[in-house]
Amino acid sequence: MKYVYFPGCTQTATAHPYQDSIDAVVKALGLEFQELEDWNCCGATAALNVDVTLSLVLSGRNLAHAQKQGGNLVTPCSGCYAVLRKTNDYFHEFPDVREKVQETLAAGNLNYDGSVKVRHLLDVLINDVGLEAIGKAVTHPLKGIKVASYYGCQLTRPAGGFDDPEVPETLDNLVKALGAEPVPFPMAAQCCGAMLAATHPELAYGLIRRIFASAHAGGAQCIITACPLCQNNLEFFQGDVNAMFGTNFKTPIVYFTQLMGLAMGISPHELGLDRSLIPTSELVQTATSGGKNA
Amino acid sequence: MTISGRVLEAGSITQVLERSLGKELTTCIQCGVCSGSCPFGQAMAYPPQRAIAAIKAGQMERVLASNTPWYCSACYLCTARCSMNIPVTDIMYMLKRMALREGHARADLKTSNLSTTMVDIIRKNGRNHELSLLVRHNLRTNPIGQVKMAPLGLKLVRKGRLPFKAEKVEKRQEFQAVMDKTKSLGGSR
Repeated sequence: MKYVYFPGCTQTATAHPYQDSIDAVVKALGLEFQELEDWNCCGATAALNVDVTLSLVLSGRNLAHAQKQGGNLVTPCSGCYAVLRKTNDYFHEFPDVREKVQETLAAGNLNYDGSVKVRHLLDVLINDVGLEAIGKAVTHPLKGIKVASYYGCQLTRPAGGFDDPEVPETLDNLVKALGAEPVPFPMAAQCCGAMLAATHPELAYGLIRRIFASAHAGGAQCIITACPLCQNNLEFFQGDVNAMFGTNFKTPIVYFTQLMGLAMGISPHELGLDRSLIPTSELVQTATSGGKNA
Repeated sequence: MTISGRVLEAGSITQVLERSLGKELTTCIQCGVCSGSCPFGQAMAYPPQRAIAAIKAGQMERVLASNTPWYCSACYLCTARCSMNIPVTDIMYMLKRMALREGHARADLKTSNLSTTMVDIIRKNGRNHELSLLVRHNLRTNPIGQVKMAPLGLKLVRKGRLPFKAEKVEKRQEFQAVMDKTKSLGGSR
């Protein structure tokens, strides 16, 4: 199947490690990802906060380009995923919106008929590649590694469709296929604070602390994420959260594709693990020792 | 479309959405699941349930002038759980936009500045640039405190996670033509 890949703006910046691991894993699995031609920023929550017309049109241009390239549009970022899906949903639900967006795109000689399917990378891996095929690609089962799967919010809500909006399980099933142990994690799909971790830390750090506490209580040695903003919030502010609450969390926050890569025998460097701010050496050592040091 | 005498969002595409959102507001039974689920509800002057009650009572100004819209992180728990399937998150987005258009932005509600700054960068380049966004936002909202963020920023730069170069779309004319048309259809920026 052909996939048109929408990276989003963070993939060459704060989410560089995510992209490193995606490149490696996609290659190893033999998937064909073609980058979306001249994509623009999806606008994320910022555009929706300021101007809904702008948000729809930013997505509209991306979807128009994707229609030309042909294939499912795949994105690794939950924020981009939510916004692109929202545009598609509004396109189908409100004919007037469809008309106006098409009129706007026509100013740039672009056309979108609503036919492009928007998928999250996790959905493609779980449902198109399949857990069986992924299991077969595992050369270093992550025996003994306890993983808290953090889904965040916009992966499964408002209607991600490929997993439960409140009690999702796709990441946990993936963790099992990699040979690791998913821990019970009640805060798995509760908000990390999103933008407010940067603008209102006095409010958001409490949410982040709860996430760490919940993962820790389950015995997690690391937290995996599927969203650049979640990864940022949990990693960058872990020290500040410790300072505010007198806690001592030192939990590596890695992207789910980085965990996949470790199980597939890909080097930590190629997976962007040396770009982590919180040391992952212990995790990597346990992963590559085949559970001997677990 | 008006609700309790108050016109909702103005603007070409938005009028279509407001027709639908306005209708849905009337079905709210004030069960409070939204407020109970909201991660920032306790900090809001008008948590979602109360915000909707205020709007239906013709008191939208209070909500627009408050911290409520800006404390919404769009986690969609309210929307997922609403007994009447009201898209509460979309209503919060609408309130943010109306607050901005009607001059209710406040310096202490920094999310509005972060959002408008990001939109300005996107509007110009077609892509976001995290370094510019952080620097410009902090210069505006927290110029002195920004110094404390420098160590984190430097670490990210060293790890190749905060590039200096801003990316731009290549088809500049195409992008700007579409953006200009958006503005002419009632877009605000």
